[in-house]
Amino acid sequence: MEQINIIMQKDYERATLLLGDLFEIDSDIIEQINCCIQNYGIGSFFKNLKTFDFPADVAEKLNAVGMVLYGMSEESLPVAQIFKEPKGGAIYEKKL
Amino acid sequence: MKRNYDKEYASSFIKGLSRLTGISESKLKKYALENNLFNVLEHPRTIDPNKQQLEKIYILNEFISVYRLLKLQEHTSKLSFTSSKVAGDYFTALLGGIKDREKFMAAFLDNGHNIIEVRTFSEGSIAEAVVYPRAILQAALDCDCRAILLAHNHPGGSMSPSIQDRDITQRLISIFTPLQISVLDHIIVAGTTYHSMMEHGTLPQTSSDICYNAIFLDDRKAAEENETDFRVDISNYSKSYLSNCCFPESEDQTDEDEWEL
Repeated sequence: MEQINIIMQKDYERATLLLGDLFEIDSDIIEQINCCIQNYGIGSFFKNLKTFDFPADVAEKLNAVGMVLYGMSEESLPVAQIFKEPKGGAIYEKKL
Repeated sequence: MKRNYDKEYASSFIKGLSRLTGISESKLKKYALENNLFNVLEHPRTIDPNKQQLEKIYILNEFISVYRLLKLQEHTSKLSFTSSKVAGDYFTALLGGIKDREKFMAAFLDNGHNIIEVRTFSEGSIAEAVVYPRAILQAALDCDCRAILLAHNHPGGSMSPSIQDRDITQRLISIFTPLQISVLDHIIVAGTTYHSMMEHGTLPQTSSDICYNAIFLDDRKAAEENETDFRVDISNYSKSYLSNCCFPESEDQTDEDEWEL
């Protein structure tokens, strides 16, 4: 099991580095993304993008990746809609 | 011909791709009217991107491969290769997105066919890669595995194993069988599909000739074989290997009895 985790960890790192290349971002942001992906898992990471505190341009690009994945039916949730949530209502108030 | 994509999915794909690569949405929409939209990822040159856009598409494609692999791993908490299909799906996720080079990998498994380690042993050009059996042997002994799965991709899209593909499979089987390590299958990935030698019953038998020399895998050879004139020098192949091969019937059947290798 430990070896499986090591393999997955390597793949998580590879995924994050590819995102880093795609976005052309700093290594500290890459590390932050890596940490979030490892904690949430790759699937849940894209479903929970709004919960992470990434800089706006990085969040936007991650959202774009989520949109591509959704378009390819790889993601079950329409990530694009996450960012279309109206800023108001009970959920928004609760977050504040 | 207009394709029947779900508008929501297509729109999401186009917007995301445009944001990541810089290719305009109008260009992608126009392309989607006449073509399969996902060709943009699989055959990016069809949309005539500039160098930077092409590079971004390649990176995105590779990311999607890793993403699929991780999703598979997360879904199956324990990676266990119980069938050729599981192995095929696994390596397709890993190698399917690679269109610009051949990559040779091996998965080392325990008694229960659970994965111990997966390693890349060669990354070559678009049509060939060099594989060193000694390196695979060393890695197998290091992790004390009981079985091995081999896999590589054909960027050219050919599903047929080449002579070299069969050759390296047989060489590795011949190396590992005396060590009681089974080579379970050799998966050849071509785009989103795969060919399993085990499924097709073409996994070679062990040979008494054990050779550790480097082997050149050549995707182009498979393509050539699929065409017309198939000729190969068989003088280097062992009896047991050739006994498993199907040769076209000779016009003069009496010659068959005279085969001596």
